[in-house]
Amino acid sequence: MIAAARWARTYGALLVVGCVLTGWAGLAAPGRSSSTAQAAGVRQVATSDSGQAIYLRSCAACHGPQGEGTADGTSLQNSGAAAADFMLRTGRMPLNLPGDPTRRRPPAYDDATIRALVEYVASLGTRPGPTIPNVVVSGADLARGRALYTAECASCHGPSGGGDAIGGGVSAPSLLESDPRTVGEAVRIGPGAMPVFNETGLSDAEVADIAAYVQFLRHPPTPGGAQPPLVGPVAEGFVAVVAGLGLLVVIVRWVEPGPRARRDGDVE
Amino acid sequence: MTRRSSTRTPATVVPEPAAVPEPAALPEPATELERLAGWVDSRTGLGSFARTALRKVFPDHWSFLLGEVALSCFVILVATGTFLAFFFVPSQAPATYEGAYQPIAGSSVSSAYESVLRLSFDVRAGLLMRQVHHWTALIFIGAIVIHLCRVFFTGAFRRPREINWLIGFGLLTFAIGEGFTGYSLPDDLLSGTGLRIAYSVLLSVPFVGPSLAFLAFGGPFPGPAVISRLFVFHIMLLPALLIGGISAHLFLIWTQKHAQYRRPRATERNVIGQRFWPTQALRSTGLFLLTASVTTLIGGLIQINPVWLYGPFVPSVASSPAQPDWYVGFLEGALRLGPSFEPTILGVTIPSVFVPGIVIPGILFGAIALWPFLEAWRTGDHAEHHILDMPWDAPRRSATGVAMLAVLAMLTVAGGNDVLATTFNVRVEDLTDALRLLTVAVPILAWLVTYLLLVERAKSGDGPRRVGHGREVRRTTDGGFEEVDLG
Amino acid sequence: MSGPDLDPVSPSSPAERTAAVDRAELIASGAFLVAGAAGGALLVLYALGGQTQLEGLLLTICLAGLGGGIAIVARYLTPAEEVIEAREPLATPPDAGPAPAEISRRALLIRSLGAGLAGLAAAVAIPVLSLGPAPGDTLRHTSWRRGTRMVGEDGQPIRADSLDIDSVTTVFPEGALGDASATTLLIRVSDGSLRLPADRLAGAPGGYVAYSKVCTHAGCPVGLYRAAERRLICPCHQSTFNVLDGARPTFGPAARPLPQLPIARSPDGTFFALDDFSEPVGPGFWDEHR
Repeated sequence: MIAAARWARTYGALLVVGCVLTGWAGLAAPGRSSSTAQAAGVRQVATSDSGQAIYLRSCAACHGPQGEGTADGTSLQNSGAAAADFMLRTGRMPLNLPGDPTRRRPPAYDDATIRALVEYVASLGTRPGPTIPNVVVSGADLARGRALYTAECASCHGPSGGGDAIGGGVSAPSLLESDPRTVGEAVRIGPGAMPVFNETGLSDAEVADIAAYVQFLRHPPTPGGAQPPLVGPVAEGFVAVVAGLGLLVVIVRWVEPGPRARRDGDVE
Repeated sequence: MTRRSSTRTPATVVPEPAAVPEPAALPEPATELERLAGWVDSRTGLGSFARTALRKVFPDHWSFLLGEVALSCFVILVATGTFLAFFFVPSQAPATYEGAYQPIAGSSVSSAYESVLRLSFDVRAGLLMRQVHHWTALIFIGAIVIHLCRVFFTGAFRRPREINWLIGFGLLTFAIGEGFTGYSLPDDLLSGTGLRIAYSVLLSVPFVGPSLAFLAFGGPFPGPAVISRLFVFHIMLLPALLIGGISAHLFLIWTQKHAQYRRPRATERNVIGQRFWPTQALRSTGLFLLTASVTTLIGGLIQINPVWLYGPFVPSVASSPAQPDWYVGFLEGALRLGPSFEPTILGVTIPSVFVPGIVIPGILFGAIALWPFLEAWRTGDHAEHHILDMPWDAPRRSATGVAMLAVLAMLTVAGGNDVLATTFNVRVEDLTDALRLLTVAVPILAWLVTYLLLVERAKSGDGPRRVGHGREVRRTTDGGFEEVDLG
Repeated sequence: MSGPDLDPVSPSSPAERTAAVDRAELIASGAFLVAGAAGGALLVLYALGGQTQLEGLLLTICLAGLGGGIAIVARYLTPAEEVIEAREPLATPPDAGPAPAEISRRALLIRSLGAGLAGLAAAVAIPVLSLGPAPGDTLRHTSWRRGTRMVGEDGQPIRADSLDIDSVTTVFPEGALGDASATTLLIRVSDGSLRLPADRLAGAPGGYVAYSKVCTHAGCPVGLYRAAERRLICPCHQSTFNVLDGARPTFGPAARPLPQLPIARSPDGTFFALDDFSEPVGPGFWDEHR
């Protein structure tokens, strides 16, 4: 009984540590919502304020009073409605500090404010930039969407849409919280390090197919059971070696406890 | 019958053929099993072998069962693999998947990929068998590795078990080969990328590289035949080598008798333990079934290798992250950490994958394979050993083992550098540079720390139960004398 | 130094031992019955259509019930006493058998046998060479030729206006769609930003530049593009190439730049190759500089 308690303690501790590490790695893996964001509550802004007023109050410090850009922020002239809508609705803008990395966060403004800002930013510059696409996923070709996603998107965003580091301090983000409009906007504007895909390179129908596949990836079927949040051999190897082998070692120690527990009292 | 006087020409006398003796009157068999055993024995003569075999003594210790876990995994792999082989189509010819998985339904893919999708989505129990097979493969190689570690750190590879060490090492490489060929069979994008890397590593061998690569793949990558050839390796050649190797491995354990830990009454000339029947046989059977239950549990409940997400292999595309299964991770890490160095010496180019992909793994695995001979040469110990060491009994050996594990672990970790960079939010470049340094520093540090700790432990002793050094002469049950190594 | 610690186990009385054995018998039998039930349930589940997780659970219960029961039998219902068996010496004692036959030309026989066996080994091994063609010049050329039109992954000719600045797409020679070694990247950068020598710049008109997509390290398709920095990254081992600098490697294990495909624009806005790549594409091999 003493022996049993001892090994239960040892292996129990090891299993707990293993599960904690696995769980932590799983939680920290891409694909989960980044709750590390600042506690940006949705700021209510009086709807009577014009887009320009909001812009001058919240954006001009980094992007310049006419959107011409400063040392702290890029020029927004000719950037178009899609860019502003993408940045504001995914919470990438506004940044806390200039030079912070952009990443998905809860949006800082409500819908009405965002609409006003987008309208204003779209008007900046001399020619119109990419407009907000109308991405209709119902009736889209899911198979063509998968093929296009694999060819054009998976190399950075991963086969599961979970994202991956692509070097240079940049990560292609997870797509698993992106609605079709966000996907369409990103494809057309090429935010951050992302390349640009114009209407001739990827037609609107093809973009809709890709967006439909991204929606599919948000809730993919998992006929094999629980899918570790990180898709791929890294997580699988971890589970097999830590959980699988760990459990087997515990079982081995129970099956053959060895000389000590067998001989009742005969210790030699 | 001729009757010649046997005194005249003794060399040419043909003795009378003896009459066939009447079968001895056997005791009445008591149970059905005994009747059956008698039936078999009177036709094969296996009874005497069985009698010795069933009585054979095997030492008791849980760490001696780790190899059996690996053996159990192998049996599970053969069983599940046979089922899979009835469904898998080892061909790269195009086929249209018309099954239940929508994003690929209607697409033209290779027959191999289509058969795996069909098995996963449209065949009852197909996905369970496939997942159990793959999870068991990951655990199989892990079990071999911890079994190898037990053998190494207890010095069980010393004379007379050097041959068994070599066979075991061979089994490890065959198992890794089985794993690599196996997960490449579905012809999906992730494993196909791995095949591309294997092709490039073959290509990098000086003088014969291009010929080797073209022979293996039937031409330039991807070639029309690689899946069908991998299939031949996976279900025929490597399993034959594994079965032959395992049989030889077990045969040697049988004839040499298993080694045992140091304990009172244990000597170099005896084995203390339990008999094969009933104790060890029942333990092994129970362990096999319990191992199968663990792999089935994981195989049924946790998804593995979702090839439908990766998509069919297309040579013009690769997705990231891209890693092989864990037991090939050390090769992947070596390739990622390798310096961008491609010199041309006397007109011969040494491609940048050659040293990290072939030379370094060759040196590491060569050292593992030849270890018994290296250690015997270094220590001058050529005696027979049937009593096992504890790790602290041989601080240099244990330190070297820990250092080797550290190298392989660092390389395996490096194989997932982009995943780690994402998880811990660091730059891939910084992590890779750090790992280049750590892969050299950590093993050296590990060697030193292990050596010093074990030397310290050896000096201070291991607890109150140690009786002390010495040898004692004891009477044996048959009246002779034997020397016993005390505590 | 002694082996693994032996725990002192308090001796149990004969009555306790019998109780333990009784318990073990009941538990083992119970485990076997549960296993049987799980097996039966599995049959029913299969008949009803099956479901992977339930199949796995039931099979696990069946296997664990049998295995656990047998292990309990082994642990509690088998003799507890240890047995000592002697080891015999392994080497076979010398045997006074019949003398070997007299062979006068022993050395000749053995050497000629060796030669014969070597010949047989070669004859048996040679068919391996049928497994693949000789490499010849295959690694030095791709299917790009002077005048070959550039098509996209859909087989349609690539038009210049399908790429904005900071766009990238995968292209193939017309007629060789999907050809692994001819896979090429067409990238558009701002005109004038390419830092190439004049002869190579001539093959990159108007900021459109084409590089081989096959990584010069281990051959993976270099599919990642950090457009803002004009860096191509290979997903396999993170080799990074600078597009503006002739796809020179700036990080990672690749040692050679991605070969450039010299291209030109047709009047109809499509592209065609001016020549094949000037060096072998993809990973290195021993005589690639011949």
